[in-house]
Amino acid sequence: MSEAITATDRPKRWSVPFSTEMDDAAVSRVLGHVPFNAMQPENFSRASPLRELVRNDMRLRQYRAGEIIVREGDYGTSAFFVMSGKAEVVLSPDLPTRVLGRRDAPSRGLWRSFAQLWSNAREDEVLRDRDAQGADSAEPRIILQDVPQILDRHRTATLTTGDFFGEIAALSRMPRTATIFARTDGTELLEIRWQGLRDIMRGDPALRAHINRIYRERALSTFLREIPFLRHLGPEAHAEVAAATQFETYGDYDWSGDYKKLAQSGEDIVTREPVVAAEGDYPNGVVLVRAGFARVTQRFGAGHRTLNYLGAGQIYGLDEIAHQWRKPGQPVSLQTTLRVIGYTHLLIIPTAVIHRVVLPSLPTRELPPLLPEIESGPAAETRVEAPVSRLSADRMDFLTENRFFNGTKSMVIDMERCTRCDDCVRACAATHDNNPRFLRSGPIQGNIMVANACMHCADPVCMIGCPTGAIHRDSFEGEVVINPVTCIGCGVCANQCPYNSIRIVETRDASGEILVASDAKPILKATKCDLCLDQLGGPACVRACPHDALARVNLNTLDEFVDWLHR
Amino acid sequence: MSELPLDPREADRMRYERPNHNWICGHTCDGCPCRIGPGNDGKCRATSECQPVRLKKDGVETSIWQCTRPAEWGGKCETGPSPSGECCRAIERCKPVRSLRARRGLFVLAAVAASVGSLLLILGSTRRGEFLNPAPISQLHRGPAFAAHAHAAGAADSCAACHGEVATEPSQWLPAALGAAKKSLSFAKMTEPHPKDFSRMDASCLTCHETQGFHVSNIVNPTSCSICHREHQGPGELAKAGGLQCTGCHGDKERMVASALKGRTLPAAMFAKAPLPGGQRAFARERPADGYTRVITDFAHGHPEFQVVREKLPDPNPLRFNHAVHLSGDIPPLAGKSLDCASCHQLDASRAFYRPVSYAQNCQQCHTLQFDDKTPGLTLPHGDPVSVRAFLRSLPAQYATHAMQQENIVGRDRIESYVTGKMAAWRERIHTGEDLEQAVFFSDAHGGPAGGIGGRPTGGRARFAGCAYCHEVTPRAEAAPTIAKPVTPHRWMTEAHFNHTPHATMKCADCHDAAASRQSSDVIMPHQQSCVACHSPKGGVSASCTTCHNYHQTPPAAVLGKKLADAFKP
Amino acid sequence: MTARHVRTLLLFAGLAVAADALIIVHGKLAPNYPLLAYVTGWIVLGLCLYLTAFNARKKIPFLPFVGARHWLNVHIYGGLLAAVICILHVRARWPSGGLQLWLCWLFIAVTWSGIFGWWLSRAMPGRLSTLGGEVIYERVPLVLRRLRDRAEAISVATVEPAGAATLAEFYTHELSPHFAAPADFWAHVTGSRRPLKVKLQRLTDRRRYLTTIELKAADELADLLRQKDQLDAQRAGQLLLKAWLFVHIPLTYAMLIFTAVHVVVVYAFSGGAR
Repeated sequence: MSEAITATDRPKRWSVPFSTEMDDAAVSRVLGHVPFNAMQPENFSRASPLRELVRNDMRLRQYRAGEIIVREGDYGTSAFFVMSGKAEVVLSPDLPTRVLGRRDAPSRGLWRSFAQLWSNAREDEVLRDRDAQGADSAEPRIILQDVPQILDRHRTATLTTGDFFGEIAALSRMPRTATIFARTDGTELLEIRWQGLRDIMRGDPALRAHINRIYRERALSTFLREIPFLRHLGPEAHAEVAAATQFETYGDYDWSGDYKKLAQSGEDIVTREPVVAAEGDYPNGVVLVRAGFARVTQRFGAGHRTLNYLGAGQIYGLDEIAHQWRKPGQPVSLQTTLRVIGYTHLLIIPTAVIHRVVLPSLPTRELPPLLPEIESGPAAETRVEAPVSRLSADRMDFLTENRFFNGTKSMVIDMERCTRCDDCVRACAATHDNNPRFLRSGPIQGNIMVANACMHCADPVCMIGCPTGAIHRDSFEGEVVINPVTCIGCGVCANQCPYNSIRIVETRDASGEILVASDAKPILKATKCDLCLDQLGGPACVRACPHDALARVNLNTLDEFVDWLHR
Repeated sequence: MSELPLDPREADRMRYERPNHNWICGHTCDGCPCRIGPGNDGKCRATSECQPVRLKKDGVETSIWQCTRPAEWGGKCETGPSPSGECCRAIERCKPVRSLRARRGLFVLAAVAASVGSLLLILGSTRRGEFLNPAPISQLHRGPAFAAHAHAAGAADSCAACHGEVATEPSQWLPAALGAAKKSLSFAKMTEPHPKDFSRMDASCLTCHETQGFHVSNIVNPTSCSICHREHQGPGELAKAGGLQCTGCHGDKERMVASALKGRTLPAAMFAKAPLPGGQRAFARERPADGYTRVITDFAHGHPEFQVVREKLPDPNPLRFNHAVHLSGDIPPLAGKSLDCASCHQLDASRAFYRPVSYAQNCQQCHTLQFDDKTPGLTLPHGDPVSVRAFLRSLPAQYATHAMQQENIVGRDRIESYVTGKMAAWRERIHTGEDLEQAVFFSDAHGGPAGGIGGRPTGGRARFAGCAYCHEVTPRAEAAPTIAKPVTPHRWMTEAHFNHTPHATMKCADCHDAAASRQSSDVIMPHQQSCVACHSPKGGVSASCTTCHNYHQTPPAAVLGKKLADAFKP
Repeated sequence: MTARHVRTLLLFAGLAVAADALIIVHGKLAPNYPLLAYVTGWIVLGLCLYLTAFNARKKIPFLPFVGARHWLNVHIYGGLLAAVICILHVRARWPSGGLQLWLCWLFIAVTWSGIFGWWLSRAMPGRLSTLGGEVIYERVPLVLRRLRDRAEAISVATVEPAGAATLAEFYTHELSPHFAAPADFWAHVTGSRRPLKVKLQRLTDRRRYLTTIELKAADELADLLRQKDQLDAQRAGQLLLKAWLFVHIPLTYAMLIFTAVHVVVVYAFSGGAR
């Protein structure tokens, strides 16, 4: 824990190290361990030498037998490396929530909430000392009570010295896919925060290849088990499907920069998106979206009409393949085009495997319905109804063009009910130390505005470039939040955010003077909506809207949005 | 001032909109607010576009000043800070303006101030009473006459006559209000049906209307005047009671039971009826054991049968009279008209009730007291048996007088012979004067002691058969027999008031079934149901309690001066 | 008909039934409860205090109370109910005393301003949203400044290349006052398009005196005029949405003050009278 920052000291990367306990001995011990002893320090950039990466982005942690290391569903931004001891991965079935010891997000008490009435700053963007808290603030340690019983009832896998885990969540900004606990007392793990992992992978090709391999294996195996139409498969058939599945990644890890350029160029975005499967082609296999988003379009006049977009876990092409299998005499081509948007992982299960293994396992009632008779080829217009028929095509296009499907808590405002009273903004300011954390403006389609408020993306690109990890996922709810202590105001996240939801502000002192650092620049901080994480009762903006005009909805799946539209 | 960094309609990277601010930079209306913005006190604190700092080299401050204007506000300016470290781009100071919302707050304050101010002004002025008065006072309770009355009673002015000192002392309002809120206007009282508590206000009423507070002695708790009489309802008369309030008690079983129990503990004197005015006679009857405590919801339901009808109380009148016979029609027409009710019953001076029937006015015409059928015109005196006896005992003298006055016989001899003739005729029929007396007093049409006077048939029924034909005659040893004096009450039902005149459209027989009455003990008063026929919602005629009854009763002597004054102290 | 309309209708029906029931119950109770006017009075006062508390509720958004939208619903229907009970309280008669008259007028003003605001809150957003050019009210001066700068630049820029100041003079004399400040509030509140048409017509009338270069600039000016008009309309609508509260809220507090005096006076002077 570094000393509390002073107003004129700009925080730098590593000014708040991951842990203060990484002394020279510990660093040397890590560097002497496989695989770090095989790394070439000269491959690392001068700005982030290997030794400093270990010192600042890693920490050594001891676990007791049964202690939970990561929990399924949590968002974590670090990966783990087993130095000694054993860790156990719970594969299936999942541990009950109670055992995992989940607790509510830490929030203010009623009194402290009320006290905001007078304790809020009187000036804008006052930099408070109270925010000074380190990365290793007390985390709850949960010990599983009956390890033998868990081992008995759940299928597990054991990780031993030299194994990596947690890198999927750390690198792909996804929730943890499995719960892992320490098997033996004194299990020692090296925890690497994702910035460190990223930099080390840059410097060490072997580790990069290694992590990529296990990353794919584990992602695939866990993921396929969650897919509904594969759940009738036995273990062997499952293995066969897993073996045959191809894994493809489209787009850039950092897709938002490209998207912003594209959007500004005014070109038809649809045609620039990589096509995975084209309307009218023979279906090569069922496509599963593993992460990111894909857009389902159909030719309409001279352009393309968006029918739906697919998020993680959704599938494409099964209807056509099933139709072929059931009516072998009627070959059908794909009815729609699948394009990927941004950074997308796709799994493809080849048609042959689907025909041979998957479809026979499905009970008749779970088979996809037959496609309607097709006469005039793929261009017929009236063939396919928009999958979410209660959502107009315009609206669908609007959501897709602006990439709004990414939001899990998007702020949507019904402009035909909004009286522009700004109660939401004032409520936001009242809950954020006198500072609003969103702008009541943004793209409008019809009567719907998607405001410039952090949507807490499923795929938060803002987190990619952060040099200090100040912008992170809250480990409980998965909201994207910014730690003001470690934020250096570099503006990378604000530039990354495709939705204009992060604002860099000039901080002030209690008298309202703008703070200027010793390098003659004002001290800036990135700010955005934190969904009132530390407040009682959820986002204040929603609660404050008197006209039922504002909602925070999950646009990953459209149901919530459509329900809200027809509320 | 820098150029606008962005199209303001687009999101501004550097700024949030802050509708929570009370002050807005005065340059906003020019479209170029400054960077620092006004302070919380509404004062402009802009100085220059940046605060230059000294350049640092290897952690050591140099003497060179650096511009700190951020890129979003134009970046480092061309000129840079002055050698003394001042920004050379000074911002013209502005006069910050309040935000719309802050101005609304001022509006609220102004409205509050205006309300308080105008209220203080009015309440402090002489027009306070006028301002507070919810509606004009009734006629009698205002004007100089009433004010004089109030003064005489020791009140400061007309208002204070009822309201006491709160009317003149605003400082008393709060204590008085709190006092009322604790007692007579507590929340419990509001939700209690018919809270009847007397209050200071009722005590004020009784200053002038002392006896008006009395209802009956067994009332459980005294009823506030304001239950019925509402003041401040307009300039006319004090609002008349509608009678709707009566069933509040009389429809409440609990209260009626309590009242009945209380009545039993009180001495009879407490229920003594005040005599009717003008010496009128009332039909006397017992107060029911529990008084008038039957639960009544309205006239048609629950109102008991009139006591005289219900208990078939006999008319104690000793006169023998048969209504049926008189109305049956075989009586020869009188002045060309057969007998009907109006032949005997006439409205009295009040036009509300009928005069009691009297012999002189209503009977004599047919029932002359001609005891000697051979001497028309010679009649016995009516009214006093002693006179009758004296008359009979001086019969020759009476004949003589008759001869002189009626027959115009002149001359002593002739008169004497007339008298002798008459007396001789009597002697033929009745042996002695004694017998004649017996016959006159005691014979009736049904064969009294003498079977008619002189033992002959009485002829027409109207002919005088003897006193006992109509009266109860009791012999006395030596003196003249007593004849029970007929008593006809002026009023039969004294608990209610009634007026015959509005009922003139009806026939008498609709209510009074005289044709069926053969006994003089029959009381031919109507049944309650015959009233209900019209006096009910169905009949369409007012059926409220006050149509017939009056709340205010004259207190009996036993109550006056003793209880009343205590009962109504606030 | 959307689910919302159904809900609103149901609420209205519920309110109508409640009002009827109240009137009937009041009629039945009135003869037996002579102090009923005090009961209705306290209910109205209680409701008014609750309705006023809406303002306080907005000042403490961090407490997880009932959401403001539920609160507003109760506010609206509670307000209507308060009006009904108030009519029962005054026994449907027009008061005659000074204090009571004041109170009555204030109550009427607050109630009707509330109903107007309710209607406005439902009608105006739709209009603003159809209008387009969505802008945050506080930013109106900034947008205006931008439009003005553009308009000035366009008209001044024509002088030199065109060799004529016809358009520039037209701008200086006819249009610059219009671009100087928000205008035509009432026209925009009533939805009139006339102000824009008049100005565009004047510009069109001037066209035959303009050079080719100026003509192009005139088209741009016409476009700016339309934008200005849109901005004015947005400002007018949004201002109205805020302005009605300038009546509703201050009068509410005035009414509460008069009510306080009313209560004290009635209690002090009553002493049992009804």
